[in-house]
Amino acid sequence: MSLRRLAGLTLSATLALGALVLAVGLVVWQQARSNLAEAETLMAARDSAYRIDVAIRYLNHVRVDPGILRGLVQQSERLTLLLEGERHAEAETARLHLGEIAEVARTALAEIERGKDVDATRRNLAPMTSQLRIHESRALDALNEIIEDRNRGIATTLMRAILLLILIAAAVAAVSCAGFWLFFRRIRDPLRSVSDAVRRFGAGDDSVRVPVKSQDEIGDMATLFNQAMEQRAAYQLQLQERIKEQQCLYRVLELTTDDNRPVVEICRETAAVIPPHMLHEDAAIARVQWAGESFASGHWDDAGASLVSPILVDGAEHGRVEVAYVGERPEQAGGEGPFLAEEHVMLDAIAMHLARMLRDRKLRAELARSQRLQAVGELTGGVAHDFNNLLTVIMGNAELLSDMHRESDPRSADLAAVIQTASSRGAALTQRLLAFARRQPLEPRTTDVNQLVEETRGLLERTLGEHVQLDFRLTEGLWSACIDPSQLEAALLNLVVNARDAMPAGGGVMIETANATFDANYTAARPDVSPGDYVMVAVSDTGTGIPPEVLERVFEPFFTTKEKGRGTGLGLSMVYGFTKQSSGHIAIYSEPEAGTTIRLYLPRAGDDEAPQEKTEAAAVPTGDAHVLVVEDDELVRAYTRDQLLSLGYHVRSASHASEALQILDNDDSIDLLLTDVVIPGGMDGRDLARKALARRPALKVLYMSGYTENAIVHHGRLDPDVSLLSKPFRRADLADKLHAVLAG
Amino acid sequence: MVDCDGERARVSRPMRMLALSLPLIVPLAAFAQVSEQKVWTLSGSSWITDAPTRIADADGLFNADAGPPIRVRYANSGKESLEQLMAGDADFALMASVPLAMKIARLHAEGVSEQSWPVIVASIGISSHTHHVIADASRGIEKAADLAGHSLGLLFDSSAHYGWGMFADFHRIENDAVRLVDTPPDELATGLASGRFDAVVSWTPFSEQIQEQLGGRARSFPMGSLHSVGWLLVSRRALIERNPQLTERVLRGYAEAIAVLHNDPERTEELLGKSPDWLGEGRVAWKLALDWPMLAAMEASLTWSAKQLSVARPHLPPRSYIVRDPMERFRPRAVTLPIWLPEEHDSP
Repeated sequence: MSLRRLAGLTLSATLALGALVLAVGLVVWQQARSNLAEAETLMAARDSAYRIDVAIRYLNHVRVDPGILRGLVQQSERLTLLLEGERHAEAETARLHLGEIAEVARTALAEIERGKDVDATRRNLAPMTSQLRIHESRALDALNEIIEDRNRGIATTLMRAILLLILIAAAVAAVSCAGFWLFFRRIRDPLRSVSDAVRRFGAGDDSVRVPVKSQDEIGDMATLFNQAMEQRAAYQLQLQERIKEQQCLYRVLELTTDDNRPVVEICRETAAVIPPHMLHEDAAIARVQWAGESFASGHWDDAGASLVSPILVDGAEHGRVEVAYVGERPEQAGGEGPFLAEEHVMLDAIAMHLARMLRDRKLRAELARSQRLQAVGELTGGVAHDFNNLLTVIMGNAELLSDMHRESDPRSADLAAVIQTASSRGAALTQRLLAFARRQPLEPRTTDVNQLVEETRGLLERTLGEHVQLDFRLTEGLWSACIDPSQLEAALLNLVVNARDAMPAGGGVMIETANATFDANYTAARPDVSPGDYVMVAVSDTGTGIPPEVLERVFEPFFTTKEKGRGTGLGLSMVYGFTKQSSGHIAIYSEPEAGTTIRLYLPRAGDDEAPQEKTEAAAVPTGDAHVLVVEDDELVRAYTRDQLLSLGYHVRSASHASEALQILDNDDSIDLLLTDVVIPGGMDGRDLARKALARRPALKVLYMSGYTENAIVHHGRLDPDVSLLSKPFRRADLADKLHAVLAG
Repeated sequence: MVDCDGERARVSRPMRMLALSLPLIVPLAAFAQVSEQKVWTLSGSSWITDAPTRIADADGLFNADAGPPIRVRYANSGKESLEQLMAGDADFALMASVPLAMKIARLHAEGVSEQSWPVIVASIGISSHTHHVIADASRGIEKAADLAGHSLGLLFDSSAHYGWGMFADFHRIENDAVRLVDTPPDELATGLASGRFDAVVSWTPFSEQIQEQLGGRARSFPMGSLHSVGWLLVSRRALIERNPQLTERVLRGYAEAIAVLHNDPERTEELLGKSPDWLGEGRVAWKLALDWPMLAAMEASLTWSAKQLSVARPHLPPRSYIVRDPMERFRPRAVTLPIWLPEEHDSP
């Protein structure tokens, strides 16, 4: 019986007894009312009896009076009537004596009325008055007994009622106590069991359970406690599993973040770490597959059901992590076969850690290569700058010697021409070095790449020869690119040459163009690439391909896999430098014996920038303007002056800025300031030009520089308001620039 | 008379003889014990007021408890019962106050010790209408005054005798105007019929027989307003003092019998062989008591007795003729005598 039902029964019994108390109380009240009414009747009877008594006393002790006798008759009859309904045994006695009293009184009255001698009559009536006393005494005794019995009856009734009420109250108390005792007994032991269980649980006993002895609320509580304990045990088991999983993940994290460990060792360690952290650790085995190798913790031939998570790097599967149980294991609710759902999550996390490690290592390798290329570029740029100055002098003087001795000493002139040719080749070399170092002066313009590719088709076909098939897949609606078109032509030529060399037995080259957009997600893993729209130009060949260990170095200057004498090792370096300098991106994909694809991602030009037509080269112009040459290198300064003089210009020269300003102050005829960008004396070429223009606003300024990273050239691009002559320069280059500046 | 608890025959024999004669002695002793078992006697009356005695006798109410049996014998009058009591032929007797007062007055006059006087144990009832003066109209008696000059049969020293005195006084009949003839109640009818006397004073049931005998000639003069007869349970002082349990048995028998009279008419009729109407006509008030009416009647009877005996009115303390203890123990509420009534004789 449930406690609720027991409580209901106890309450019902108590209420029933309470109702009984009420009913008994009502009955007692009714009885009391009835008794009171009877008592009032008896009081009235006693009052009449008192009047009778007084009358008889009067008759006995005073005199026999007819009025008294009549009153006595009347009172006796009245009292008899009052006692008419009385059931007491003495009532009959009382009525009998009252009747006697009335009769005696009537007899006496009759005698008085009949008698003439009043005194004698009264004497005769003496026995009658004595009879009256006798009957009155008996009547009063009977009446008193009736009243006494009635009072006793009332008292007895009240006592019985009180006793009954006490008994019922005792019964109520007994029922309440019994109910309380039942409750107490039903609750005490179970609560003690629960209390003991809680105490034991508090002391660390997780196995404690409460015996369920009843099917009531206490039993439900015990059941709930046990369920809670079971659930807690299950949660604890799950928590232990989660802790194991976290420990496993932490260990894997430790492994994958240890840069000193080789990947293979990490894979092997990871495979060893996983089994002890599985639910059935004694039967678990794991393996990591990466780069065609498998690292297992046990004999995988015994593996039963397994769980696999792929190692995805940039969406491509680079390997997998797998765990299995040897032998049969029970199915897990909500899991996958014998594996917990959380174990699958853990395995995915391990695979993710491994993928992250591989991706980070790849990025770091790319960054290292980029930084190495950057360092090599800076070194190369510095060397090329100085080398340019030397080549400028050599090439210029060789040209002068050739001109001077063409008639007088043809042999010397030929030697000078040889020097000039070698110098030109050296200049071209330095240009490639500067291009790789991203320090070549570029003249980017909005370029239709498809058109440019088409225009180079003939050159490229001739370069490839007849045994290589050249195909084009040019995308219509291709965006314009913001690049230096001449450099793109050179890049294409380099790539085609490399392709050709990779296909000694012939093959095919495919040139493709397409629009490409790099979003933030794509560029997140490529720190050297900015998100945005790009024009893709891809050159693919069906050549021998590039081995992976070589692939990382192909952009390094002077690195070549070609036989000695066939390549300079600057072709891909120049392409790399051009692309990066143009704020683009280059990607190479190669599979040995399958071919290579190199993609150039060139920045998209603005919409309002229309492609610019290439202008035709003009003949070497001459002039007679006054030119002030400022060059700290004496050889270069002398060479430049001689070239200017040969072109008909009037020349004055200075070795530093102060001297130049002094000349400008003293000679008003100077039309153009030709100054090196980097000059000693605390004032560079820009500062000099600024001050000169302050004195002579109409003065034309042309800068010279073999080194582009300075205040004049920003990021390889010319400022729109300045003119630059790149070192080393030829006489024609000098003539064209002077003419252009003076004309502008 | 044997003591209330019964005397046991004591056989004094030497132990040796006792052992030898044991088989013979035991049956004899048993026989002797049975033959000597006390039987108490209660002398009642056929008077209507003594109906409780007849009911208790018929219903075995006196012998409901263990103890020596109580046998009831019926006399023709209370005076006769008193004589049996005094003669030792009865242990309890029912009578009116007059014969008892007459006996006490006489004993007192004779100087007999109070210890030998009969004593009142309780009053059983009181009646005012059971005594009548019945006359034969053929003798010229039509009204009470006509009794003068005639003879009247009645039992001397009885309530009838006392009642006649009251009647005569009330009707102003001189004492010597009527000749009184002492006649047992069962002989009144024949005496009246034979002419020994012209009227009688009798009580139910004798009065009924006489009236039936006279038929239309019967003239009945009630005495109810002049005379109330209390019916008393009387015994000997020594017996009462030695046998309290016996006395209580008797009182209980009367109490239960009166209860039957009051509450069970059918049983009453069955036991008495009389209809309730017959009882009602007697207008008897049955009540077990020791009360003022009893005392008043007794005192009046003593006065009358002294006058009849021509002796000085004895001023006796009530204890001399009343034993209160049995009723005080059995039904104290019924004892309504004045509590300051002197226990010892206190001569005025």
